[in-house]
Amino acid sequence: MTYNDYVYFLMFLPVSLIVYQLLNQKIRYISLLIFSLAFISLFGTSSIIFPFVIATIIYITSHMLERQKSLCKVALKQADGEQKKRIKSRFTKKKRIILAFGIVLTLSMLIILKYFDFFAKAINHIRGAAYTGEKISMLHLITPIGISFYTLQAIGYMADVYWDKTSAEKNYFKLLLFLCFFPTVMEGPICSYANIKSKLFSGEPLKSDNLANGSIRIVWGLFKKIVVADRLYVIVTALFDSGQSYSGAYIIIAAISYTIQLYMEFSGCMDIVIGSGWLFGIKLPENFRQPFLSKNASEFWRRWHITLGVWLKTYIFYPVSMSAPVKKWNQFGKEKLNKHVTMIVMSALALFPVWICNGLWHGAGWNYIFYGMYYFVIIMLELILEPVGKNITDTFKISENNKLISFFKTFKTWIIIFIGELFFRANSLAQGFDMFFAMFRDFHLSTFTDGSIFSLGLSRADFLVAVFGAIIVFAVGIIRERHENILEIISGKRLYIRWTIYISLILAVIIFGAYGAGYMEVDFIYANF
Amino acid sequence: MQTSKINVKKQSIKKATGFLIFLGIILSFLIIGSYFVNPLKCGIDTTVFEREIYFAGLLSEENDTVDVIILGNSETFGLISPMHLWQNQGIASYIAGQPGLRLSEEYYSLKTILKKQSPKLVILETNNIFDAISTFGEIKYTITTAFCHYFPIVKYHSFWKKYVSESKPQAIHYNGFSIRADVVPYEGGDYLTYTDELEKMDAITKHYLDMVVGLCRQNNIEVLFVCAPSPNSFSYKKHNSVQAYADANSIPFIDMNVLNEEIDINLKTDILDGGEHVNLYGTLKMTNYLEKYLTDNYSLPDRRQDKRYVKWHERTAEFMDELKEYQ
Repeated sequence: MTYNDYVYFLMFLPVSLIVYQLLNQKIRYISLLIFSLAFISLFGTSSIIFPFVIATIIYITSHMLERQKSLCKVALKQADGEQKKRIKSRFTKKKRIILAFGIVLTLSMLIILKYFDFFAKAINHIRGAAYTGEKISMLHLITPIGISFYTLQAIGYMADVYWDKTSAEKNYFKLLLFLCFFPTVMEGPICSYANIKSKLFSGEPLKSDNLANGSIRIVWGLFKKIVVADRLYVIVTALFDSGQSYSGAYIIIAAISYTIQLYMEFSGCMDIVIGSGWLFGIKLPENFRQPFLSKNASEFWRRWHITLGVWLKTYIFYPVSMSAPVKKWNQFGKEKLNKHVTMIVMSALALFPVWICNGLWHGAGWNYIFYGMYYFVIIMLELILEPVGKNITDTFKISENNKLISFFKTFKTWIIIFIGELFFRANSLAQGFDMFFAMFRDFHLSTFTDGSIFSLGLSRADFLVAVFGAIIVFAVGIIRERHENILEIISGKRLYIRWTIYISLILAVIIFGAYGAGYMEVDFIYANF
Repeated sequence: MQTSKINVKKQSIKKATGFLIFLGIILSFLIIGSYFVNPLKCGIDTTVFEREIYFAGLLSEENDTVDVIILGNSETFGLISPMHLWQNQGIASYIAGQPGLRLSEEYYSLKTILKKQSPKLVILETNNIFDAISTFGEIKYTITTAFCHYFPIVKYHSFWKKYVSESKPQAIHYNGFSIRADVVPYEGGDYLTYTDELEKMDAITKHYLDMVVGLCRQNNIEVLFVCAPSPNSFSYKKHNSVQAYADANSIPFIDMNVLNEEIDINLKTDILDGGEHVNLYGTLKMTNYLEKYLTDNYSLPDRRQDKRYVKWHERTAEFMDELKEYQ
């Protein structure tokens, strides 16, 4: 059962809402936990074990950290001057060891389950045929649903306790719920414990406004997923997976189709997830903010998979930036070098682990690592060339808000995004490169207009629906860019306008959805990460 | 305080009423839409799914003209040749099977059929009794089937395509029988390994099998279980299970897998696809057997002189012409 399954939104959600509402406020979070565990168990009963194990690790780790904090406070009260410094340093070291231990234990499960075979294959390959020793055998382990997402949440929680952003949760089951809350377990958003705990555990009664807004958000997500994304899946699989080699304009179609499919599907899933949380009055963080309006790659990653970006920034970029070696470099750069060069090197030192982690998090494959490195290089180039761009605009007195320049920047960013997604989707790094270079072979503009696109398995009718659906989504995105809360705008309209919009959306999903006979059931892409 | 409580209550009632009206509007759209876009009802052939063409074909026949209906999954497609039954005995039969048909769908299909036809006999091909997926999968499939039965617009929601696409020509068939003469022999050796064990019948499947049999009995329709030869699907455990059910419900059961002497299916020449289905040559042998069985055991009317069946004679002539190429 996935989020676009009718069993989820017409049966599972209503039943969970009724049970939640019928219970006493203090124990409502328990019903959320039970439904979350039931949801995960549908993917295999063994999938439940992992959240329990990780919850246990972070529970113990966070309490050990709290204990060290308390002991430190007590010791500091009795100390003075230099002693205080030494005591703080001693306890910081202890806390660091505890935190490191907790992170290693938590991460090790993810690494073994998700990356063991990849690294084993790489090591075997490096050793080569000449190696006479025993090859490392593949374990062929199945990655349990959601582990990539709740592992990051777990690490974030432990780090937040370490940094005093939140205190250790005394209730084990609340921690478990934080990790495996059923709307977020499959594809995020990656939540911070401090930001979500009050709403998640408060057990507030259901409210009609939340039910209405949450439901519409879910239907909007379904529209993106089953009207647009699942149709584009046909073209994408034909171009990437059929075994036939395409070239020229077909590669551009492949890159654009996949990018739009991925956006529609992932952001659609987020709408369903955020809508689901909203039904219970739990406001989950947004994960997308009109990413195709970005003017550069850095901005794109502040608008695309926002919570992953925030997590990487908070738990990798900032700690690396504040680390001793980087501080030393900063000092050296300030004294001996140019400000821009110092900033560039500092950014490179902090961004490199961010983008390696970003790539690897998406999957155990060289094309994912390449994807991470691709954005690392692009973002570094943007940083390096920023003064050049500023010089040009200053010299020619071009305003930052000049529409032509804005369009050029946006268009350039689209090209960066499409190329990145081409490699991301490719079945291997080799295929990614093959397809990239094939783009420049046998290129004919007529491919876009002569109906060749209909030879890829998607009928003209379905293609038109996908295009119109995408246009509607992008139009709504432009409105959202100007007015953050589009639902608020609709809520302010008269009843007949509101109901017309809601009913039209529901009927559009029913009539134009790519489900049932003649269509394939398409898995969520990000659920595989 | 009292006033505010009353106001809150009034607000809640207002919101609940609003929600019910909203739901009612959606349901109205579904009901009205279902009435207008059901291709089976409206005879809009181009929107009928390929899987349903035989079922749709039966529904487009004149009311109360079919006496024997064959239901089941794709095994029904080679079970019998209706045009031979018609030519030889005047038995008006029709194959209304669908690939992958499950018992829940079979039940709703039969309900739809019985709105237009009053058969004397329903032949249920039994290979689909053991096609159950997981329990959750079966529950989901059952709910979907029931919902689509009452709100066909959900099933036929792509009706709008016929206004923007060219329609594909429908496959030619003769009362649900298409000539499939390919030969891909079964190479698996002896598949009739005897056991007296029973294959477990999935609870939901059994429930719907009971519903199908019950529906037939409510409408005074006789039921006959038949199992087409299918070396890849057959097992004695399944055979025993179906036999036990048939005995418990006084339903005759013909398992052609175990009637080799009588029917003489040749696994080298009579198999279509390596072991799942029989081909034309196997069907003709089974038709001979079933024709005799039906005439010996059922009082099925000879409709050859009935003026309502002019098209059946034409259809049979076309079929026999086409058949000549393969004999």
